[in-house]
Amino acid sequence: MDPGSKQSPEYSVSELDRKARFVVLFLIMSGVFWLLFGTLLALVASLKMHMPDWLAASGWLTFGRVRPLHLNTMVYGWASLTGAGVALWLLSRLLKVPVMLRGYIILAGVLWNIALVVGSIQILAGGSRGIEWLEFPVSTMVVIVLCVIIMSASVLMMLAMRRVKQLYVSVWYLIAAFLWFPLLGLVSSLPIFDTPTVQAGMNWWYAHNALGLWFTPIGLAAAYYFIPKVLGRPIYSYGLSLLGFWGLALFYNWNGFHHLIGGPVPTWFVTISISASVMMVIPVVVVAVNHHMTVVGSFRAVVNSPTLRFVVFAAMSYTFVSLQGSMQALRSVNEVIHFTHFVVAHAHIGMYAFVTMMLFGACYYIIPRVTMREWHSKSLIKWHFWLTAIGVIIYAVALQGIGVFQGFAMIDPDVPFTDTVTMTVPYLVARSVSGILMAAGHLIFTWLMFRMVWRPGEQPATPLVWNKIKEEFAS
Amino acid sequence: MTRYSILLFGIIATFLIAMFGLTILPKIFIDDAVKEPVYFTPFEVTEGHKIFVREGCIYCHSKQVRPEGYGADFERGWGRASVATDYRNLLPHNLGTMRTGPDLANIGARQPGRDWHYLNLYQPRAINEHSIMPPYPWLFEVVGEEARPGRDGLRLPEPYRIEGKKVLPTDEARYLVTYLISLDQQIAGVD
Amino acid sequence: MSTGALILVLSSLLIIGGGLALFLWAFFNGQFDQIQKGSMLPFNEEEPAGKRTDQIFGDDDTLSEKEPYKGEEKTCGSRK
Repeated sequence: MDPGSKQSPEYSVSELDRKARFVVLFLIMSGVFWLLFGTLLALVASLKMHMPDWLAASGWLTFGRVRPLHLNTMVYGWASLTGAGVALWLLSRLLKVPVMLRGYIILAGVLWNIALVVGSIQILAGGSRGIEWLEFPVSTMVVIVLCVIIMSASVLMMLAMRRVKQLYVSVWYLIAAFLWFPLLGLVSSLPIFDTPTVQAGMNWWYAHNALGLWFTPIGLAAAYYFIPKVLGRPIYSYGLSLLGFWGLALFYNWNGFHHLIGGPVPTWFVTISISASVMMVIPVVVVAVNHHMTVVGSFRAVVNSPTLRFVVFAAMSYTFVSLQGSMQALRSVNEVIHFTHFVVAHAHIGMYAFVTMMLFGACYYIIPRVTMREWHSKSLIKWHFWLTAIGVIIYAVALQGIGVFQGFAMIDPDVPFTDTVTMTVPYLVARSVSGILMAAGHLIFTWLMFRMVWRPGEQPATPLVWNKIKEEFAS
Repeated sequence: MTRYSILLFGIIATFLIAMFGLTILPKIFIDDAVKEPVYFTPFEVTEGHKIFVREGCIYCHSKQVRPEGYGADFERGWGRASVATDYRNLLPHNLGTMRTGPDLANIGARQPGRDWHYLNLYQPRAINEHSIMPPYPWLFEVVGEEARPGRDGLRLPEPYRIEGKKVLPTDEARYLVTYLISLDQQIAGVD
Repeated sequence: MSTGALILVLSSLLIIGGGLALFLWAFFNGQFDQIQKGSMLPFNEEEPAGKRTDQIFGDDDTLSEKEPYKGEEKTCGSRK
């Protein structure tokens, strides 16, 4: 259990950041590209919900293809690529070793992007696999999983070479994420789920775990790192953070079948998932208490830090969305909100208000450190924060509000079905407005990111390495 | 934590236990209930299912009826509770999670007429002005009145009629509608 | 009792037993000694605990683009 070879040199934090620069920038910038593309698809899909005859001449842009592609580009493009970049940077800092296999990770990132482009064209052309969260053809999924496996190999090598005696809780989450996601992806691609109901079970086991075992660990690892780091104050209780980790590992795994409440699967499978969903209250509350007790009393420091604005917003969203999820899994609640816009909004609080905001926050900390440049404009960062925060709040309030009414109308047989559609339309318009706000925020973020890597005439402290891939392979 | 092998073991073990519980175990149980696919699925239905998947119908229409007394699915006339044997042959599954539009598990029993489906696919607002369903004009061809003698165009209401033209379903539309009409809980195992 | 319930009960007992055994092992192995020490892991000599970072919305309005980030002294925007 000795930390790596004794000969490997000690690295300073800034050296580690410098070594991570190209690979982290590459992954995060690819993610930002897919964020923009996914946002465009989101706007098209959202507008189509209340303007059904808009862009309706060709199959390529029909709602049933744009909407799944929006989900897939956001999940496997933006959140996964950027999340992987953030994760590798965190691991490098916490294990005090440079990111390993950097050249291979860049190669993997290139392949990953190509797979995304090919998969996107296939979905728009009508070649979707037709399984929610797994619409990309199996070929694309397999490439993505192989790319993650390369990153996992890098992570395990870093673990073996680590220059620290103890592993911080963020490292636990990140190692878990890099082991869980490839397993998830491989199992979901196996051709053994060959009857519809069995496939439906696999579908929701996978989809819920993609959030719970890949994005959530990355998001929580970031929160556990950035909150103490920015405040200069250690986490309130390290013991609680470990309890939170094992709680998540034990219970999140089992949540998937709560998507099939009332469906044609044996009831006791569903019951297991409902129990596990309720048990998730434990790790969630533990994490929430821990973060709250660390942040409490430092409000000014949170407001003054672009990173913490996003990270604290995201951490609060995590608590909110997880407790809401536990509640939604109850049969009596699920009877009302299942099949309504409430669940759509719930998913967006999870993937946007938690995961995406956390990644934004992480970027605001990481990018200046790896590029050794300051952000272009403070006020634009504030605009980015408020546009996205207000946008997602409008989204959640509008759709969850009407989702409840839609649900009650749907379980009341005296209400004609058409009424459950017409009542939602004004709120679907509100959703489009919120989408425009968030899209504006994303454009600002992209501009800020772009300015970090492209400043003609100005040299950073050490040159950027856009064309030094060979060097990365050599190191 | 200095013994990271224990950490790795815990990470893998928690995953594998749940994977067994939620994917392998259901497979064993459900495969046991769904014995052999003895039903013959016509070519048109298989092709129609592919188009159903291609156009992403499932993002707005679930295809699972909840039991009587749980929700109002039964009272709305969407059929009896779905069971695993209702779905047998066709993959991917189409259970769905959203009811922006009504459930389709028993649509063939509710709307057995082909013309209704053609009209609804070509222009949903020709049937229900409040519908927010997208139209699927690429499943149809617009030809002159004189073309294809013997085939009647869709009976479109006023704002959607095209002067001097008629609208005919393509093969894809015919397959899709055949598939939709086959969604009848009386005919088990079609999908 | 149905087969499903039996499997459920047995497997949950197995899981609980395994978890308990692991916990007891970890406890008596000293894995939980000085547990709070772990909370200091994100900090180091260059960026010690007690020093805030990333406080860029403090006083002035424009971010200086001239001052590069150099380890400890010039933590990005730490001039609060």
